[in-house]
Amino acid sequence: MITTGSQISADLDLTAEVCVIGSGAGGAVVAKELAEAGRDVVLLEQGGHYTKDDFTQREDEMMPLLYEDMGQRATVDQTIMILQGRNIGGSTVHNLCYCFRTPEPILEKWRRESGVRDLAAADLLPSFERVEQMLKVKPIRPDEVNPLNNKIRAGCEKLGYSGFVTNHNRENCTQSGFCLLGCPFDAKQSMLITYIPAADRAGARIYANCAVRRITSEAGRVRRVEGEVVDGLGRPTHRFTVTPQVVVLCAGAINTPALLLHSGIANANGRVGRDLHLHPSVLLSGMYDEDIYGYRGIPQSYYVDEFIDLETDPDSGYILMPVYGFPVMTATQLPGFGPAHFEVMKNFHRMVGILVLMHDQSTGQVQIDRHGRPQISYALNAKEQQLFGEGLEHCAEILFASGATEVMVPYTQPLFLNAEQPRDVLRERGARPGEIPIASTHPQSTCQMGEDRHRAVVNSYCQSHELPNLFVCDMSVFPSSLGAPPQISTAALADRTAQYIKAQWSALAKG
Amino acid sequence: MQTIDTALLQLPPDVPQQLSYALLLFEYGPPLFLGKPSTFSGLPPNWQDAYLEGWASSRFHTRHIAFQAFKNLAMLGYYSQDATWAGIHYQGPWAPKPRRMIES
Repeated sequence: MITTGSQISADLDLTAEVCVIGSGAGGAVVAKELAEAGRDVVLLEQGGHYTKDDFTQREDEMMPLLYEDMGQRATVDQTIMILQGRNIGGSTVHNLCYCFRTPEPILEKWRRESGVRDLAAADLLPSFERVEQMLKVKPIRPDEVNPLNNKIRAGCEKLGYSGFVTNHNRENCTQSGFCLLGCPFDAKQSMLITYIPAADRAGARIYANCAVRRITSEAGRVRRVEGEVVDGLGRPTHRFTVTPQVVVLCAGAINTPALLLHSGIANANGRVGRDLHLHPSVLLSGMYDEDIYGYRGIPQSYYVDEFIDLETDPDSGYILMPVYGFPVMTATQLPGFGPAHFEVMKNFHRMVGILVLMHDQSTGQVQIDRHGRPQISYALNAKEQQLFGEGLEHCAEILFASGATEVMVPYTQPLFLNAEQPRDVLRERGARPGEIPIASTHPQSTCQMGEDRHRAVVNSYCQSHELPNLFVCDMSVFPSSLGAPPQISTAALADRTAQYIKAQWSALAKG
Repeated sequence: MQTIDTALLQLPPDVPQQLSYALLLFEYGPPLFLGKPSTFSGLPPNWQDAYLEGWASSRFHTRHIAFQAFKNLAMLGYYSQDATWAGIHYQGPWAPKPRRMIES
């Protein structure tokens, strides 16, 4: 049963075998797998429960419902915007459906450098297969590649750059293009319409609008989960407690460490919240003489991997991806204001956006303020600032190769280049925080997995080194930047952790 | 304005308070930042643009952040209106959908 905040009329005092916190790509999988195994599961989600009938395809209505801080979450210095979901289904409800398995060189790096056990591709294969079957992962058909993506593909093919059309998790897609605002046609196979209903059918008790404030421990074990039932504006209406035997924390790489820090648990080595990676990205736009209408069709189907080679170097590189936005998103990302800004917006239907996504070695940290709210810092290192410039130069090349008449780089003072002008100015200038919008949709690595309890927060099976009945199951556990879109990796690791909990249940439940 | 008011309600309670302080500074700041004895609202349009530019490119972190916050709210208020979409060739929602009220 899915219960929303408005249906709760008194304080709640619940018991459960397993309490899962967060309902995105990690939590939904754990809840479904454990409920189907007969465990009594309570799943708590701070955001609301919204379905296709709520998805009005309007930014002003959907951003408050589906995004953390209305899409305004950012680093403390406001130089990097961080987009994350806050609803049943988490970020899988608004993501763009890229489906990639964890790159083998990254798994090898995690085994080699962090001592993670049993994590070769073959070990993960059953989890990948289960997740991909549930999410109906399949290749995007050639006729589903929209004009925006085709421009980027054409540019890459002309320049000889490596790229390909990816897999996705959509079924009977209408190609309306509103993926970022929730799929109103239930074509996107998000957690909202796959794992969550399955968990529900298996008997999991699912609570929306329930924000966890603290996890308490005693005698080396997690004992209680405490929080507030909140209304649509986040105001508390009631209190709740859950007394579980096992807690699985899946609140994402920002809220998970914030909750652990606020609770004062699982952090004897001081590593909770540290080593944040963001997959930071910067973008530029090309203007074409023809109508593109880039917001129609599947937003991201092409993927440029020319500038990342994880086999050779698992520690650097960047990916180029198509990108689009609706009017408000686009207008806020464009520099300037007034008539000059509107002149650019008038070409909204003729823009092609492309972004550079960094496989970052730069790091940041999640700390908390006096209310327990996350405070995010991140230092983009000089090498990656320069690499961004190189990437922007390649983006400009790709767009000009496919017919762009002008490229606009959204520096604070926007830079316009035509096809004849030298592009190396971008390489020289790079991307310094504060001088160009930087965004992240993949925060990760703030509660890392590893066998060294002095360096890692959780072990190879995502179990706390300190509290054996506490697991972390989201992108927090990645021991490094993933270097690829994370949806399938997150869900597969969650599946693997759920299998471990099932197998170890009698031991975990003791005490 | 209703869109902006709704947006402000969604933010943590201290953020609208900080924004209101920043808005006061912005409105009454021209004597300090521009050397003009006027409020922002009372400036002629070309001076308003110069004043905005000063906030946008300010090296003072707080002014720069405040400008971005005001800009984000202004863009939300403007470009979420259906009436603005034709001017930028945006076709809007694919099909009318049933709407539910946000829990409040």
